Amino acid sequence: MEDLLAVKDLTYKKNQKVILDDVNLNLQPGKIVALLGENGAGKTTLMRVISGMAKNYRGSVSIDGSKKEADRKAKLAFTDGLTGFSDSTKIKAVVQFYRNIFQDFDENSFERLRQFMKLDPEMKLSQLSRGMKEKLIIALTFARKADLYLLDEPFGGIDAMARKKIINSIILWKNEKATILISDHFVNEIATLLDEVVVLKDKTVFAHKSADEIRAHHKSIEEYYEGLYEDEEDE
Amino acid sequence: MVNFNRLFSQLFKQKSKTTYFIFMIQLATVLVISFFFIFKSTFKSLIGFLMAVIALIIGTSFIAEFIYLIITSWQNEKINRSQTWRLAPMSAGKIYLDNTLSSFVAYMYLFVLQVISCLLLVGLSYSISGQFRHAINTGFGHLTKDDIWINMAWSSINWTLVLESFVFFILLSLAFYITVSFFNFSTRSIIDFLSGMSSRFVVGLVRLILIGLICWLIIEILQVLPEDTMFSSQIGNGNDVWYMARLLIEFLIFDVVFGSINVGLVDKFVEAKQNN
Repeated sequence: MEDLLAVKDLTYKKNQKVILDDVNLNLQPGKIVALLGENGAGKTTLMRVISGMAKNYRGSVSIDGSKKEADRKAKLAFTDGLTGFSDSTKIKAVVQFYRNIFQDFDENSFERLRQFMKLDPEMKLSQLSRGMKEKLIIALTFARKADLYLLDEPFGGIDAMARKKIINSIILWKNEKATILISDHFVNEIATLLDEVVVLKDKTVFAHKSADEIRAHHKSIEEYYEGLYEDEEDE
Repeated sequence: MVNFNRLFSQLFKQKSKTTYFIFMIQLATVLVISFFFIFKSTFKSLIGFLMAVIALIIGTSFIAEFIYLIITSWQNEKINRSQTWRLAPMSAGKIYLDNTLSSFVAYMYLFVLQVISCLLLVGLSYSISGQFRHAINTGFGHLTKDDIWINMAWSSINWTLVLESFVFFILLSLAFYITVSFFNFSTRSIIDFLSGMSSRFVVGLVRLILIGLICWLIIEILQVLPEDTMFSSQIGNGNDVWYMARLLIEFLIFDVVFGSINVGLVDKFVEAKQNN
């Protein structure tokens, strides 16, 4: 099967510091993939490079064969902090922005997701708690019919109950062929969803394994992930 | 092109809020000043008040437009680096062009609002004041009775120069936006290449050096230009259509060259601000 995402020989430097070094990553359509790594490992940077937000890198990135920035952006949905809007912007205005800008934005899907997240469209962004804002971001992201979803630590501020509900529902919100790349610290909670795990360590892809393979050799994905850092802790 | 138009309408919607805001402030200021002017003047009448409002709208339009340019330049640069906007399915260069163009069209919109408000006030004055109506009718009646007056009035206007002045106004406003973006993009690109350990002092120094460099560049361009251009010696000689045309070409070249450099910088180097 042809790769949906192909990252080849990617090296990214900023302020004279190498953040990603010779990264190679291939993801197939229809997969849910965890992107794991310590703080500062380069998870967000990798997503920013894939989405065209970070520039001046060496190597190539293609989504469904498209290398051009505009084509890539049309095929992916990236969780955005919504900082481009003023605090007084209402949710319904943000939705209007998404509807105008993204041709694949499905308002009916958003409406279902909004009701699921219990969000009032009349609320202003300044009135949203961190958790509510994250719910809105998730709803906006999945209301797009994208090929690749990049979820950058999407559940940090959401309470445990709601998080569980959202995680269990994610699989229902995406098209069968769409791939999700998700970076999160709650490895245990997303573990049941995962098809593959990618670990960023030492500025590169340290491991890329199928979730089933990990489960066959370890108690859990979390245990496998923690095991990668055990040697360092011992030192 | 579809994406370009969609983003343009969204950006224009945002910029037109600034247009309305500035226009309302201008109108409120003009009304307050006119009120005080009439209050203190011996000529206390509605028509006098309306005339004062019209005169002040025309008089303050340059200030309002300058403030608009400053505010939208800041807005432009915020949008140019905003991840929310940069995620639009277009290249960063096209987003930059869309952003600049929408600010410029909203700028023209401010100009149109000012013209319309003046025309409405003239219409209102005409309908409520017999004195004003008489003055207008006499003036126009005089013109229509004698073709020589019409010919004289029309021939006294140099329409080529009027058109050139309008185009100059457009190119100058664009040059302002382009220069601000060039400063922002080049500073950002250089800072991203500096070591992460660089202090605020170093970053400030880079900005200062760039301001100096842009000033030096502009002076150098002016010196390279032939003697008979407006840049060097003929400021004020506005009747010369040819010299105005030459000035337009110079500004057009400036806008195209620096606009293209900006597109290159934003496409290759200027990153969206991280906002998660």
